[in-house]
Amino acid sequence: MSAPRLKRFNPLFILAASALAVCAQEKPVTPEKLKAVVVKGTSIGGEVTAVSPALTLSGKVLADLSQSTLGDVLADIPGVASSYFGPNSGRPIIRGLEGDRLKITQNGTSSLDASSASPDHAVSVDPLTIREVQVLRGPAALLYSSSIMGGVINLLDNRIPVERLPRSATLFGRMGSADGLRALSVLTEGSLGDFAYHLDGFNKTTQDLSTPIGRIADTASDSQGAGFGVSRVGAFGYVGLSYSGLNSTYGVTEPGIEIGLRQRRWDLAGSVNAPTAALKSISYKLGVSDYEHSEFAAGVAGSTFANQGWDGRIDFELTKIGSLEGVVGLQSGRFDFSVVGAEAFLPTTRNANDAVFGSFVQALASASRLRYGFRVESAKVSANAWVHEGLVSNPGSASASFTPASLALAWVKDLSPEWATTLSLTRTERAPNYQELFADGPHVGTDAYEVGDGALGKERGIGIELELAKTRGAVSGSFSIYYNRFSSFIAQQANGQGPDLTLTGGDDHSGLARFDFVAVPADFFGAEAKVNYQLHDNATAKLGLEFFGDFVRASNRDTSEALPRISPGRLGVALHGLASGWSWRLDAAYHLAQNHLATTETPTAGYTMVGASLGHDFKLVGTDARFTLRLTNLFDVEARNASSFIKDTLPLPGRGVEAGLKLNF
Amino acid sequence: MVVCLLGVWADPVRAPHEHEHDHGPGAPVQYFRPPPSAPAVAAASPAPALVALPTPVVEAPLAEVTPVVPVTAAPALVSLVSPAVAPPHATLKPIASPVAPAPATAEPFTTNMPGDFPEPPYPRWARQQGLQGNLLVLVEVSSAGSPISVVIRESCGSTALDDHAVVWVRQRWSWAPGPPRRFLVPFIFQLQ
Repeated sequence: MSAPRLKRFNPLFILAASALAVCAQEKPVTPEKLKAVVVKGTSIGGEVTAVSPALTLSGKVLADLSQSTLGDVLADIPGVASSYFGPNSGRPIIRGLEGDRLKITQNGTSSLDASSASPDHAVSVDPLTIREVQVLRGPAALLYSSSIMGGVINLLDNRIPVERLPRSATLFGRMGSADGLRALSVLTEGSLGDFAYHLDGFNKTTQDLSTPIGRIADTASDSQGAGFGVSRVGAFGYVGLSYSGLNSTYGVTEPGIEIGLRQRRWDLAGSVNAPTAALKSISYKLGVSDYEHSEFAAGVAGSTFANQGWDGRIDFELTKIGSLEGVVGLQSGRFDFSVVGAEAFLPTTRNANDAVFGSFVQALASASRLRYGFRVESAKVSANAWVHEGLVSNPGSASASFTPASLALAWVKDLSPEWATTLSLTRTERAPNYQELFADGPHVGTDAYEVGDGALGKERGIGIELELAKTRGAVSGSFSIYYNRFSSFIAQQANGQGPDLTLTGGDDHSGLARFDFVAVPADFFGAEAKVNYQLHDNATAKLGLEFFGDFVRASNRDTSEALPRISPGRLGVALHGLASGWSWRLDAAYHLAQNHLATTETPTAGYTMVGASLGHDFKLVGTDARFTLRLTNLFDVEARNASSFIKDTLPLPGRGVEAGLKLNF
Repeated sequence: MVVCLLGVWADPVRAPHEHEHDHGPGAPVQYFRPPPSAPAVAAASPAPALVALPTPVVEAPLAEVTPVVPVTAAPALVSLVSPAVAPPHATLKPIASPVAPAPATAEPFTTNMPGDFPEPPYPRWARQQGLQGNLLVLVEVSSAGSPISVVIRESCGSTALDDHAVVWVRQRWSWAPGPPRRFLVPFIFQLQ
């Protein structure tokens, strides 16, 4: 990917300067010219450090993906699917792994929301404020999580500036037809003396989603968010503080059910450069969050989920010793998760997690390097005594402790300046979460009666992956193939119907399917590929042809039955270019049918999605402006997302147009 | 012109009157080669004087080739070479340099001037946006050795990256005490 080259001259400036040169006849002292200061930087995504992500989205690439949910932002990347719980809630799924297995961090600390507990709980991040999305894999992912088979997603915003920021003010408005989108975001940043500041806010509303089978009721949304941060920056490093809030009300296709979400969060972060000879830097982060969401039935709060907690970390970046670079650190977090209300399906739990981790990269002879990392955690989940609907789920308080240890090793070999290959081995362990351990009740989000198991052990697996990548040249791309084998995978297994609790004074749940959390041996294997032929490439005109595809199969090794909600794969082609200042992209993807099904799962038909997008940079009354237009599902195909819990009621959006205008003052 | 005015408004360091300081006889009007596609001169038809200016268009493959500047003080700052001068209307093709250009390396900026000249970092926001380019800064140094004024002589096209260099020089660079001096400092921001 070539970075856009800036124009180096303003013709008007030359003109003005030349005219002035004619006037200025004499000068006291002619300036002396010094040798050029060459500042070399690595493009985002091109770094080779102990913590460098496998994939990074930033700048224009990310801006053009300005989608509504994080799942949609990432869904075009081979290997990634979205859980798609309506237009307002979508979590990414990587290589068939989701929820707690796929950690999403915000500037390196836990997002402390409830999105991993249930697919209908939105990730509490506004995609518009995100400056960089990192997908970490292998050793680097161990910095943030011990469950790294799918990777870790780290979102970076500028809410706590880490450096002086150029003064900027951005206004971004979007309108869409399929979901009746109306969104406006503002963002301003800058520096005053040694201080850098950031301020952002957005308001977004959507109407009921239009699909090829008509508008789907109860899918509208209304969200507002804002964030403010300030930091002191200097040669020493930086230290800063930020505060952010998010309010959102959205439907999840259940008649009359609406979710009201509220999060407030404080963050402290800082870094000290070269505190001692042995360290390049020490950086620290602490996030304190108060999250709650209520499921309103016909305007009355049914149950309220609250997550109050904090997550902190300290990273020591080691000075390069010979050919070895590395980061070691500690992470610690506590949160209380409570569910209050008639539809409580979980007891109140206290969750503690402490971790020590390290990730290293070592250059070897013969153009190869070794990356390796470790993470050892101590996790404890304590549940309160719990009686609901006359059912004694926890007679007394119960607790479970785990010590997951994960390791990763990757050998990277540069075959030539253009080609590189990577062989990765991973061993991961994950402590079961509060839901897998202690759930016992009807879960509105998944429309199931969920039953946990307090005696569950750690989830364990080993994985192997081989990747071949060509990073330069007119033809670039990557191909990878992987096999992840879990000796113990915590899955939801169908187990008849829910209980009838009318005798004990509760409700009759026998209309709901019952799912138990059980540990099963499981296999995941798959492949991903992406190839780009750059047919034409210069500063003003580009043309490229891209092919992409992915494939994943997941099954229970004991029964050979498929695991549920796996998007089986897709094959796609895209033509993209730049001409006369307009960038454009046309793409078509064939999504495979899913016929490998879990018990009680329905098949998903294959479908082809065609879309187009257009972008243009121009000046609007002297202001930098960018106009974007996206056409989605051009042929209005009725399509179901195999990884969605609610695919049978909610197809993917129908034909739609989305227009955006961004102004940079 | 609106663009220029906005640039000035957005950036108080870019005081317009500062530009006239440095166009003494022989002072380079431009240091870095304009982009090949920019019809800068052709577009500026109302100013025929521009064509008459001895504008040295210098191909500086890695910015090691410097146009001629009269050496007035402080010898041995840079080794000056004869410039390869092309007429302004010539197609801006790379011109063979009389000296083999030294490869631009990531070595820190060094000069044998006494003083402190730390190299600026490549800001993360600039890397996120893929910003790169060449810019030229004019620094006026007081007799005490501190920069009195730091202004952009040639922009890299991004006000933000220009400002980054200006602020860095103003805040972090210092010279040894001596007579008041003026320096042109080229910065090359390069992503790889």
